[in-house]
Amino acid sequence: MRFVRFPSVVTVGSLVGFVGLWFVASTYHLIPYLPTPIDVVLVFVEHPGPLLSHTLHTLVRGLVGLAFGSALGVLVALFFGWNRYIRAFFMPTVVAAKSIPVLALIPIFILWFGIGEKSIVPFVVVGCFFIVFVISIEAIANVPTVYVWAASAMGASGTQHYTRVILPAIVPGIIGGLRVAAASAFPLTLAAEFLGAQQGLGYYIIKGVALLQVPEMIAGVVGVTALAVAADSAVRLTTGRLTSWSERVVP
Amino acid sequence: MLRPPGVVSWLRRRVNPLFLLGAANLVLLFLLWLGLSESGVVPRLFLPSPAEVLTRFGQVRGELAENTGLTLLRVILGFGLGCGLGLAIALLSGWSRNVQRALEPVVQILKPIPPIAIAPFTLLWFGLGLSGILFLVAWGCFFIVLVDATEAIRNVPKVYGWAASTLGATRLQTYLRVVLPATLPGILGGLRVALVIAFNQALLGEFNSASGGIGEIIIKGYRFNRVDLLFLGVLIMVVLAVVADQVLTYSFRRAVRWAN
Repeated sequence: MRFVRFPSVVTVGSLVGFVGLWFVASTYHLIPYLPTPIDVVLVFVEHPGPLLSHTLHTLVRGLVGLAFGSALGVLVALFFGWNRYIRAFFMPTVVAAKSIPVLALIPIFILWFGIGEKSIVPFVVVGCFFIVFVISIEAIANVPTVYVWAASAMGASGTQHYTRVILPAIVPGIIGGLRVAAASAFPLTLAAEFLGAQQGLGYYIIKGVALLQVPEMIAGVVGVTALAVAADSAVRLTTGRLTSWSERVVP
Repeated sequence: MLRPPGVVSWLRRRVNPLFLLGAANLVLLFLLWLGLSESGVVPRLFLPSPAEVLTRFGQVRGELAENTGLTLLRVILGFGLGCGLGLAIALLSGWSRNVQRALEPVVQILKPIPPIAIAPFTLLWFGLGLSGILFLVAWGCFFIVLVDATEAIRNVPKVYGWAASTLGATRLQTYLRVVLPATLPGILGGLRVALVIAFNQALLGEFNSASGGIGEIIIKGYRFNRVDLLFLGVLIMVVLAVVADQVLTYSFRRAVRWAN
């Protein structure tokens, strides 16, 4: 019995300790400008309107960017995976796409497309594209050669190799990429909104810095976290069946 | 008769034709940039020509070197701090179930928070200067490495521990001499992801705080419509990030030679 109860005591104690520390840190001003958890909850209760409408803006931008970016990423990766010459030609692009800090591109997007939707959505498209593209192309490169040999031995044609062997084999990898992209789309939107938007959670949070509305800022962070977690879970739940035959769900 | 120098045959042996294809891609990209900007198809206001960027580079070389150093310092220190803490906490919770049970709920609350969303708070909590951006970078790296290292520790085969015990190792010896070395190779993927996050976080911090660094160069170029400076900053960031990733991967693989 002790074995069962003890961990739950530790777990509950840790949660209580976390909230308790937060209270102590805010009441005694150990962390500057930190509001109490109650102040944050009050934002949701008393002024849910602005928070909701800004969240909606971020949601739409993130979703559109995610949809187009992911689709593009998968398609381009499939095209690149077709043969090793195409892959070799675009190798530097892939290397760059993998390690490029995308946030550096935000000012360029604002310069090219202007403030607001016009630059935020294209930026999120590119951000999600990079993520899905890199993970998909790695999935293609990691398809065990034995699979291809086996298909050849049974007389599969070039196209059949691709549609019957490679495509199914990379589905788990692509879904892994989609999950990362889904979790990243809203933070990317947020970053773009920090710099060039009049609506959206990024604007809401940045405005909070200027007006010292720290409870609102934390509520905004809760909002964007909820979006990211919900999107990731949505991808995981809807695609679970597609990979039920696979041994691993996330590469 | 003298033998031919053999450069051609050396090249033929050494240089992979596939690698040349990759180089061709870079050359084509550069030509595309040159063509689009010099021909005026894309106005100068939106895309500076390579010559303009190069001239600007010559003019602000000293300033650039200083700011590049500043950004690199923040990235390296924050990355080291975040990854080190992440690994340390993962090792602690691997050592003791109670530590793990105590930390798990807090980690589950804080981990899903996008590191990007932390940026606006650092100004309030740390003010301008090194510590705020360090915190931002370290926060981003910490959870990635914590999750990866925890997973890697779980994946260390039990046989390793048994073998060490048979040879008379104490629990601590087993942990430090067997489990830790077996864990390290598994976190390279996490470290590489953390490195990209580190660069992004440093940039975000520099965008907001006017405390120097390439991020400030980029934002200055954007605000004052000096597109050559803007593109120069972005180019430097891309080169830095690619080189840093290669250096990390190469040196880490060397450091954990026992893995292969």
